[in-house]
Amino acid sequence: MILNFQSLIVRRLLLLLGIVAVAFVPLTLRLFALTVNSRENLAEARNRLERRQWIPTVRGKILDRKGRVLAEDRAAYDVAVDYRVLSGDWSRQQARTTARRLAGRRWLDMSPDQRQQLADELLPGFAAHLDNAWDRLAAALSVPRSTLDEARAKVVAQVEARQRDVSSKRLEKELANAETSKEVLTPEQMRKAQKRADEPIAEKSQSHVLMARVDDAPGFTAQSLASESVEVVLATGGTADSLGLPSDRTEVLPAVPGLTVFDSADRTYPLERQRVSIPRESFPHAVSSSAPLDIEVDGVAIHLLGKLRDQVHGRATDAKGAVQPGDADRRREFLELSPDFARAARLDDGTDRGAYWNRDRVGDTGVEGRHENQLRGLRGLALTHMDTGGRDTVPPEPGQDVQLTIDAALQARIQAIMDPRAGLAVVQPWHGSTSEFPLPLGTPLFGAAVVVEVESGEIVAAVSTPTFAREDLLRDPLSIYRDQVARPALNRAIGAEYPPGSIVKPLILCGAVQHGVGSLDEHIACHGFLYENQPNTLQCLIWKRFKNTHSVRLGHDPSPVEAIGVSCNIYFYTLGRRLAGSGIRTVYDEFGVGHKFGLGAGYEAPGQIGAPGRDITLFDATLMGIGQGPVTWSPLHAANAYATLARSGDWIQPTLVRGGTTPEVRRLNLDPASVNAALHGLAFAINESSGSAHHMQIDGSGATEPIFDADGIRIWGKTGTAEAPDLMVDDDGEGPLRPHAARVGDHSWFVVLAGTDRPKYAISVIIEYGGSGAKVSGPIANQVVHALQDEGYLP
Amino acid sequence: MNHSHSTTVYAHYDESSIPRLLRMPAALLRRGGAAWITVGASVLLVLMGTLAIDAAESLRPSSTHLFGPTAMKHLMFALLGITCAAAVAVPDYRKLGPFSFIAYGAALLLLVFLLIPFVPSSIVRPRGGARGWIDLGPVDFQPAELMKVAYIVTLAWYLRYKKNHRTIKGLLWPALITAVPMGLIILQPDLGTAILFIPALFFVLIAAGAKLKHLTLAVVIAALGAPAVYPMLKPHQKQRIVGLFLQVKGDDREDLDINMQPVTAQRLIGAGGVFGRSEEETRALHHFNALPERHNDMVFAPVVTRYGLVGGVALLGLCLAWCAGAILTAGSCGSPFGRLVCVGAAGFFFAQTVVNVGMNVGLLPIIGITLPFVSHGGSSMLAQWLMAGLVLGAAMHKGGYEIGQRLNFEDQELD
Repeated sequence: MILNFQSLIVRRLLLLLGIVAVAFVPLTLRLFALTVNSRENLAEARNRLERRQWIPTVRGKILDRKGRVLAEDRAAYDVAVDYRVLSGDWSRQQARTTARRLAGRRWLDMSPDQRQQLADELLPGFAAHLDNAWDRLAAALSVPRSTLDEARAKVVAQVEARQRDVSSKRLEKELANAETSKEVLTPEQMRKAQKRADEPIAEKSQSHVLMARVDDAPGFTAQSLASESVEVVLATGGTADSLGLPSDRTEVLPAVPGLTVFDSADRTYPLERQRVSIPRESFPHAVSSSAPLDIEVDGVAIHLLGKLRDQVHGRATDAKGAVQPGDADRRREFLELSPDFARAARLDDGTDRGAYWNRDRVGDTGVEGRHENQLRGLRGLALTHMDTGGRDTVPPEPGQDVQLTIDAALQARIQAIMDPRAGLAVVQPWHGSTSEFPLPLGTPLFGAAVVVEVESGEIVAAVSTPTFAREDLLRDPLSIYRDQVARPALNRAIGAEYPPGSIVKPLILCGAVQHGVGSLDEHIACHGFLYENQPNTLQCLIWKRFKNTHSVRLGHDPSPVEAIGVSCNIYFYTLGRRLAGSGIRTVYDEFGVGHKFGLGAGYEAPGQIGAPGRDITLFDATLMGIGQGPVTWSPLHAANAYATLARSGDWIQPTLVRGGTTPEVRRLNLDPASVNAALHGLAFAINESSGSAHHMQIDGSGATEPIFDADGIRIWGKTGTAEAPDLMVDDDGEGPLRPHAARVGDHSWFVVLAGTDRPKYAISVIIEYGGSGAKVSGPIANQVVHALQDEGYLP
Repeated sequence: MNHSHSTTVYAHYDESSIPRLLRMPAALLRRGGAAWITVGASVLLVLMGTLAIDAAESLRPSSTHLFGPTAMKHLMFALLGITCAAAVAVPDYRKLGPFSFIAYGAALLLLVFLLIPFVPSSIVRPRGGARGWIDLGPVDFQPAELMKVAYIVTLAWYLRYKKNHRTIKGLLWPALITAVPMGLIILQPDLGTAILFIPALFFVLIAAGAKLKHLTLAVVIAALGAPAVYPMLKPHQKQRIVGLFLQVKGDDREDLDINMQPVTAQRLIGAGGVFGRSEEETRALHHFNALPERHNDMVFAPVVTRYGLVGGVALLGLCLAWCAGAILTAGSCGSPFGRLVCVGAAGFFFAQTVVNVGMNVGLLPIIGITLPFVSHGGSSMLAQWLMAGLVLGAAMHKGGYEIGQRLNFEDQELD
């Protein structure tokens, strides 16, 4: 052929060839783009050749200092049933398909009515089978049938509500679309739109958990039930007869249709409920008895252990607009910070075996929350290569155990001592409340007790009362958070801060000597009040109560040891004033006030020195000399400060969890002589008859009894009666009722060091709004010493 | 053409220089010319399709047959198609011309029959909601595919000596010949097949010498009017267009829903890489990635998974060769009827290939169109071979008698 470009035909055919050639260019380019550098596509396509089956792991245990199990996973099962079975639709579907099978070739010749009739005749048989199935399941789970029916109704109601919600949203969207495109929907279109909106939601073809966390035995029975089948004879009726079909048909049906039972794990806290026997011979004689008190305590160490939640939290924005990281964010951060752990946690393709999935259990509060990453564990993976049938398995790795420094038995014993039923933590006549509005006798008093081992800084017990039962927390969390006076959820041992009161006096002495404003030879006159012409402010307690002075009582001006022993306010007002703002701040700061300890067990109160945004005035400093004014700390701060004194000024970071980072140790550079004097002062308070913690009066007769009576145990101690702001309670939240004072008066403190030749344990006790330190917290501190003996910590 | 020139040509092909046994094939080869490119491309495409369908069909190769059942069926249809192609190529196709309107009418009747309500579903079984197939027992028959062949022949026969299509008024009849079958096919509804008629019409009109400005005007009007059609589309069609936009924007939210098919196809195409995967892996990848319609509309994906970029480009090259063969045949064909038939066949083939490959690689929305010769589908295979046969016939019967005068526009004003 000769190309004649003059010819229109030739030109036109060339044009067509050109069009064809040009059109193929983008296709080729796109093909090039897809195939070259296609590793990602290939990897994803290959992914589908594998079936991944995750193997659940076990969360690590939480142990006490003696290795007793405080929290562990228990095998359990979730029992789930397909929604169509729950709703009963299963019977209708089965009746229809069975009718079709039964009719065989006749089906095509039957009218729609006949088909439905045949199905309807089979329906009662299936419905009866389902009814039996529920009985079987109830028997397997050993629950009454009604429990199962209630659970079933609840799921169906939830799913239906969700369907209604989704349907109406879908319809709204369609109508809105029609509106924007200015379409007017005909009735026919409207009907179709409604039909589309009513399409069943995904939940209607899924399984739903009917009974969660079922025990091992019933779970196992249910699991075997899930693979059982039974023969069911289905009777047919008139339609079948008229068609010449058999009058009954035997079908093999699953014993419980749609039943699946899968592994789940339940967390148990075996030592949270304990029965404790407390000898009462050493109780104050008004409540003492030769018979021990048998008492069941619940929620032992629950504040420290914390809880799990069943919901994974996503990233959220709080009320202030700040972004709160979700569980997955926190996990990612942890993996980035611990590359070794991340290597073990990740599969070859980078998948984190501990990643959070919907419905995972997540450590929420306390040790469970703070040690989530160690406790969580790593899932295993069974990888089936479906093309070759090969299998690779990565075994699951259980979570690491976390050991606490707490002794669960001691913790329970101290909790029992502080239980109102024991009679020590209730308002008693001998408390001799000086409050204007005394609480009625027998009113429960709340507080905390902390025991720190002097040598190691380990927290052996940290009790906060009242506690609560875990069931109550799970069943009705509001019941725990509603009580604004008892505030059971508050961990008073480490998470609440109080004015320290007189218990700081030995620390102030050491601080003043260190800062060169106090001398161990100095006697300071006590006139009952600090300023000569102001007898009503800055008083000594002895002046306030008895219009007496320590100088008169002792026959001379008190020495530092005597000032601690008799708790002379004037002496320490004077030291506080001399230390002034910056000095007193340093003293408190060195003992750890204003800092958290990083225990890893939930919220810690740092305590406070000076009001925020305000300088410490000379008046503030004067008050802070006796632990009043703008200063607060937690019972743990108190115990730790006394432990520091007992170590001659070596501050050790207290620990609650073993095996973490090495605790920080700081030498405070206190004058050893001043520490010695402080300890002498504490011994004076306990042992000298004029000491503030030596004895107490139980009734008006003037008879006294010693506060501490443990044989062979040396006690160094100090009372504290700290003025506190009233506890204001607003019964209706934001409502019209004004807040009112629910508790008034002083907090009762008692801090002691107990040991044989030298202090071995530091014990701090506080009773909120209890009044006198000696009379309220004193007997409790004495019982804690006995408890340490009973548990073998002291001879 | 002068005599001496043709003598030299013939001298080059002196029959006496060819062994006796090969004389007949050699003559056929010479007479067919470029049309053999088209036929050869058809055969190679069929083979590619068979191998790809077989690989995409099952996880393991067939133990009893050379290929799996679908691929075997594909080959059978191809053989049947080749027979049909021979049947239209051997007799002088120009004698078929006068019957074209009858074929057109018959095909229209079949299309109408599909739309009659109450035809039992044992005869017209809707597939995916479209009433496009007549159940013939072991095989289903798709009248729209037959319509494509009847349409080309009819349009070519109608236009072969016309000149009035150089005016707008003259375009009315060709438009009507196109619109009626298109409309019936849209009603099935099978928008994909219906759309193919437009490029086929344009190809024929361009070759027949219609004014380019008229055609351009039509394209511009269609382009401007296209958005107005959007609200009339069915929801699933709208979704596919929306899906394509989402994909282009890199939005992967719909990857598991409306974009599942194109995204899976592109994943499997990408998985082929440059040189493709082994047969074993291709089988596994396709089995477990479960691309819908992988032996049919999406057959391009298994081709590339198996043979990679190289195979994909080869396939596109074969398609290009097919069209080129048909267009070159048109160029060498003295008969306007034959010329227009060749161009019409090329138009359908071209449109079908571009749309099919375009949707496979994610450049166009998903629409139900087969890849000629490669996709599994009896009616499509037969129709495609009929067209190849027509192209070959046009090449074989160039000379000899010609009804009426030859058309040329050389004497006319050029556009």
